Amino acid sequence: MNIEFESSDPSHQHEQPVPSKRVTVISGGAAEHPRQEEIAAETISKHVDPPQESRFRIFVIDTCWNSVASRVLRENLDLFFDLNREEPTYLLGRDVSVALLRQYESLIGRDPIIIVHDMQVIRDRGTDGVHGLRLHLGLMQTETQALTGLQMFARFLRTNRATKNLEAEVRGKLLLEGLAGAIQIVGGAPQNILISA
Amino acid sequence: MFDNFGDILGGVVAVVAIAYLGFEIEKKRKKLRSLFNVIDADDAVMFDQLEEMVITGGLIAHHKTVAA
Repeated sequence: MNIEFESSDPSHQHEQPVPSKRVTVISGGAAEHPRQEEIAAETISKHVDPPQESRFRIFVIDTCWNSVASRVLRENLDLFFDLNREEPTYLLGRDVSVALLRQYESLIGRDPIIIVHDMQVIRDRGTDGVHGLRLHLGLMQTETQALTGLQMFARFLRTNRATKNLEAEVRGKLLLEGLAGAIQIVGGAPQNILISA
Repeated sequence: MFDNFGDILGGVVAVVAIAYLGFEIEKKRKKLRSLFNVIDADDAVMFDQLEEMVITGGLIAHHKTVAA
């Protein structure tokens, strides 16, 4: 599948313009019938000096729905980036996000989505197994839920930068699996705020 | 095993309560999995696409400039 991205003036309030540049992105196997789309890639370049061997690589997908979650993300994105400044973070512009979600239809309406790739696992084992985690911020209905979810996610990333088994930490601390997780759910885990109707 | 109706009723209530608790816990976990989840082999294609954008310069890392 070939997708052509062309950068343009950014619309995001946090972004600063970068020189217009045409980029061809090639990936394979996502769909049987390749699609080609002209989209504007909005990128950020306040200070580019990514660490060479970061544990995580963070991508933010936001098609800019007029939603509480999108608004909360935009208002707190700089802080989120600051808290995880060791990790290269990429904010996909609206058009790039739309182009991606046109390919991954099941994710439409779940954005803003924060995708975290565990580069340590990917360097060791590739992408055949679990190699990261993601947050579907767009599924959170209230401002409190969205903010709590974002804070919880930022805290989780920050406190688990050095963990050897990220999958176990995700399952234990975020998804509350196992007996300890069940006890936390019954006892009032912070996650209960996120899943209350 | 149960020598009167009260014991049987108590046992049934306990089983129903445990089953309900298990159902509620699983329902909450399902909701949590819809919010947070791991990325696995099914997401490898998206990984390739995002990495390609990074490699080709289509995406540039956001790093806030720290004042000297």
